[in-house]
Amino acid sequence: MADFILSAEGISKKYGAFSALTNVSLKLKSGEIRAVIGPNGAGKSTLTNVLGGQILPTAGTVVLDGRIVTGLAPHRRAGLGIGRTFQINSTFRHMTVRENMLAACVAAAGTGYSLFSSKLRVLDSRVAELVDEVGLSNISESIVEAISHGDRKRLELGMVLATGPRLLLLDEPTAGMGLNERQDLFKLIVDVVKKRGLTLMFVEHDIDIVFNLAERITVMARGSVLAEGNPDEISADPHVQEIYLGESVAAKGATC
Amino acid sequence: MNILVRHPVVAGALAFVASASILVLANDVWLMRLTELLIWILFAASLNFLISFSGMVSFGHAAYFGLGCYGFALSAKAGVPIIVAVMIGPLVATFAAAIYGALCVRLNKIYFAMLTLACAEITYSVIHQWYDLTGGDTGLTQFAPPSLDLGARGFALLVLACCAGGLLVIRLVLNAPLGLVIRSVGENPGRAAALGFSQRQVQWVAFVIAGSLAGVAGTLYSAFQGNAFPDYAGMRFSLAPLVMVILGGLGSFFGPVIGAIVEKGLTGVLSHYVVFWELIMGVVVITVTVYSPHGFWGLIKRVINKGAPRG
Repeated sequence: MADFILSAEGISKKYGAFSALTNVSLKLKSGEIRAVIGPNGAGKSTLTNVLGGQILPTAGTVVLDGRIVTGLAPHRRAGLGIGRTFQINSTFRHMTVRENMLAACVAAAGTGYSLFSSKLRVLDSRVAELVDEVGLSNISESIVEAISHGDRKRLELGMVLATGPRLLLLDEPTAGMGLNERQDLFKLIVDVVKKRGLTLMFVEHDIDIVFNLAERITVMARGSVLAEGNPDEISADPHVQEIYLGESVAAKGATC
Repeated sequence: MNILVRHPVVAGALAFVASASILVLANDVWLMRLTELLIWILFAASLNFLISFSGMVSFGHAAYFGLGCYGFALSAKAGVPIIVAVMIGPLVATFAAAIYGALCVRLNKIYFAMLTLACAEITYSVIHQWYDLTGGDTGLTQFAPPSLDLGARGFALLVLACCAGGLLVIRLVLNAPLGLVIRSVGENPGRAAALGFSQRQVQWVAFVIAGSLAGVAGTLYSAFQGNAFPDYAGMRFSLAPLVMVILGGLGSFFGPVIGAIVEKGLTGVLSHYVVFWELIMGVVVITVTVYSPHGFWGLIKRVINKGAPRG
């Protein structure tokens, strides 16, 4: 199935008696922009982690480009083209912005075990390009701990892009950011996704952003998929309105 | 000062020449002290590479130091030419680090630390109890000519060359892609894995590098003392470099150099004048950990930075 870059079938994840995910299936078409929404505890992050390889599912299979990757370690999946960011910002805090990006570029170049510093110098222009693309060139020599939360999120996105992924899994890429910052970052994300022809799946709470940007939306609740469809279908779905979205979105759907 | 900071190669060369001149001019007593200090610097630097840059706190680094000692001592005793024996020491340590390392990197943080401790204690027990081979508590003596027939001064210069070489290796690794990857994994294994680096593989490589450098230090120590005792692989020898790393300051390249000087200097002076000198050492270590997490090297850097305005 070349159409689907990623398909997950019957994913379940149990922690003892608690089921974080129950029989979740999800297929991502190559090039699509998919949002995953749902109330807290719906299993959005768990699902992202199962797809990224950070968590092993109790049952079900994950297929990437027709290849079963269910038990594959995160670093192997990264090699196969899955790039991801985390809900809690994950960068190398005590290194500079440039060094962070350099580490990502080394990963992409596959020269991680090299002992020649010349292998780092050849990446300089690529690093500068990426730092610039995510809008951080003016603070490239700052230690990550000292830069703003929003800039760290941008850096993380840039690092993921450096590894040359075909599929981006972004878990709340704008969590904890101000409204304007959020929209800027999402604009950047969509720009790079379109420019590079990537597939994007993101988890997001901001409903406005989700309905504006996503081509398809998966709604999750209590560990299962409640509904899936394009924004119009989702905002018209009575279950979704009732259980999760409330009336404001129904009204918004009508005006769209 | 600024020139030295900007040109590390020049600074390193100057430091090497200065150290060598001191060794050439030193009297016999100081020659001994400085030789031993240089060995400790190398040992502490190898542990610091693990702790500060690879994010792995080892409580059992003496295993590789001790195996360096015994690898050298036993092969020399068996009649292997000295020039070969001094290479067997580090090789044994490297081999052990490769095996123990493969086990230890499967665990993280405190569990990793405990496993390294267990590996070192196993090594110590085997050395201690394999009487026929190692002589147990009696240790090994008279397996090599004093100072390897180089004379005290010649041997001191050899130790200086090894110590400088070891520091240079660490520096080169840190400046290479491998060093960047090791630091990345040390700082945030999850992020490094998501980028495509295998945490275990990278940590194993770092572990083996640190173990082999500790093996070089152990071999030199054994040649310097002219003996090998099980203690060299024991707790005391695991803790000493740890204290040096902490005193010198975590997270820096020169920390262990300063730490070894401070630790050796303090114990030397204190044990000469004070009966309960270990108590005072303990207080010093606690004070440094609480008030200056970046150790004595951190203090020195602060003074330098105040002296020279930036830019």
